[in-house]
This record gives sequence, structure tokens and C-alpha cells, in this order.
Amino acid sequence: MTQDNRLAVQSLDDCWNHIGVWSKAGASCPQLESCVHCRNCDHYASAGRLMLERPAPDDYRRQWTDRFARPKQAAEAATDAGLLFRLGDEWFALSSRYVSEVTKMLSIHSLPHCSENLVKGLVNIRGELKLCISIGSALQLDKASSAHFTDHEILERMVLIEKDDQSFVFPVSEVEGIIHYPEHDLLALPPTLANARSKLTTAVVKWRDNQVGILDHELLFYSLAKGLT
Amino acid sequence: MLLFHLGNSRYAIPVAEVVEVAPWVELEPVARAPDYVAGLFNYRGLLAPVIDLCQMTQQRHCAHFFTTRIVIVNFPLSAGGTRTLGLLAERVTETVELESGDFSPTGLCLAQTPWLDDAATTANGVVQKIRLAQLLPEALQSQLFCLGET
Repeated sequence: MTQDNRLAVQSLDDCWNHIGVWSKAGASCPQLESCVHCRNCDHYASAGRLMLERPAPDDYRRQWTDRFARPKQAAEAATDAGLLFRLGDEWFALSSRYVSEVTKMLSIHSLPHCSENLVKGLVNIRGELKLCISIGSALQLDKASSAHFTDHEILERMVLIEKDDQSFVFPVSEVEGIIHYPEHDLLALPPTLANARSKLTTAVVKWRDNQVGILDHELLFYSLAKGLT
Repeated sequence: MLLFHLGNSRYAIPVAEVVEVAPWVELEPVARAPDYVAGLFNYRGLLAPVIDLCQMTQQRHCAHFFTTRIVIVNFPLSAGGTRTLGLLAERVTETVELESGDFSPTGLCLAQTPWLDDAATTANGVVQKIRLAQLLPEALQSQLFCLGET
């Protein structure tokens, strides 16, 4: 570390500990009115950069030298991201582009004269009434039978999906989060599957020890719209 | 604009000209090259010359810090076409949004530094724009990229 740099680190003003949000005496910095939190403040950001103003170890350089010597892996670019959720004992993923929101379970207001399996009723999401459907019935899933999973109410979520001007809400047993899958990891479906599930699923991808069905968003929205008419 | 420092002065290069920012990797030294040619960079299988901008402007090597990085650019050759070139600079840590209207002429046209373009004044001081195409003299371009042979 050069002399200049050592001085710079020593003379660093850690105002966030004295008058900022991490101050024990309470935040009193006038900048907080415009920044709200120290992490939005220029002073905090430049102090953070100053921490990198120190000599890089040799193995750091060697590691990066090796990394840049290899051609860029094209596979990194061709990944897709999907929201991973569970219905009963099966895992599915839907392209995250069409997922607008995941909320906690909301109460479903049933519609009169609408006893079909597909439509469950209406759900109030931020003041907007959305049609709540059963994705399990769209996929013709059986009710969860095996004891691999015990359904916990605390894990249940509502997922809002939107495409163009269509939007649907459906309850799921659990939402894991967003997964990224490179195209070459996608496996073909077993050809013996011949129900709606195989029509709406384009491929299967392995996630931990589970097979995840990747849902075809085009067909899903189409079949939901068709099922409603 | 990608900001970087050479000593205490701040410079900027339009992000459109930047391919990638790489850490300061180990470079293969080039025998009998001008002292501001830091070496050859094995950039994804392609050997690209790297120019030490500190050496070019201040006759000293860039400091061995984490924030000293190599800015990979597509260098426009005077004879047409582009070549991959690395620029070694200090404190390559941020980008700023500056319009072309923010820059004004410095009024200086030094023969030694034709690559210094207009400057902008920001809250943290003056930022000078780099004219990438003027960075290397034509004689050096033909030496670095073997233009006579290809």
C-alpha cells in the first residue's frame, strides 16, 4: 500500500457511524433528508470505492488472467429465467417475463353459476379484481397424492401472470423463486405423456432432485382464454 | 461515459466505444516496445496490445490496485477498420451520464496530446474526454497491429 493510500484510508471520515443511520446517538446528518439512507449518499459510495484502492494480490491477477484467456461461454447468454413453483407434488416453471406479482394467499370470491373447475372466482389484488383460475385443472393434474410434500398453508402463494391484456391469478402450493436454466440443460418430455400437461409443457429441466416442467406461456394463455369462453 | 483516473485527473471515454472492463491481468511483456506498451493481453484467445495510460501521460506505471483495470476498446485505425486494444487506467470504478452539450472546448491543442478532447465540469471536478482515434500515432498503430503485413 502506498503512503498516499494509507493516509487516505486513515483520514477516511466514517460519518455514517457518527451522524448517519448507523449512529448510536441517532441519525442527525442533514444529507439524510435528500438521501434517506446512507447507502444512497455519494460520500458513502466514494468511501466504499476507496476500500478497493489497495494492492491486488498476485493470485487475484493470475485467476483473472486464466479466466480471460478462455473464450466466453456462449451458453451464458442463452439462458432463460422462470418462476419456479409447486402444485401439489409437481414443480413447474413459467417464464418470469409473464409473472407480474407473487402475493400471499388472498381470499377468493366465488362467482355464482360458475361451478367449472377452471374458474375459482375473483381475487382483489391492489384494488383490482382479477380472475382466479386453477392452474392444476388447466394442466389436468391429479390432486396431490403422494406424501413427498406436506402442504403448509404458510408456503401457499398467489401468482399473477400477465400477457398483452390478459391477466390471471392462480394459487400455488409454494413458490421457490426465479431459476435460470441454460437452453442445453432442457430435456425433452417423455413421449408417453399424452394429456394436457404434456401439451402445455415444452421441456423438463432438472432442479435439485426434482424434474421441473417448463410451461409454454403462449399455449398456457391461449388455453386459459379458450377455457373461459 | 466511463470514468477513470490517471493520477488525480479524471478522464472519460464514451461507453459505446468500450467492449468490456477487465481487471489488471498478467500481461506478456513485449520486447523493445515503447515504455507505454504494457504488454500483450490474452483476451479470450485473442492477443491484444495494452497501453499503460499512466505511463503515456505521467511517465509512471499505473498503481497495482484492485481499481486499476484494463478497458477493452475497439480501436478505430486511421487506415480503416478496428482492432481490439486494452487501455490500462487507474480507478476505473464508475460511469456518469454526460450529454455532448456538457462538454466545452478546452482551448488547448497540444501537439503531444491530440487525443485530449473537450472537457466537462461536474460537481467533483473537470472530466476530460478521450479522443480514442487519436490515441496512438499512426507509426505506432502500424507497429502494434502489423498493418504493413496484413
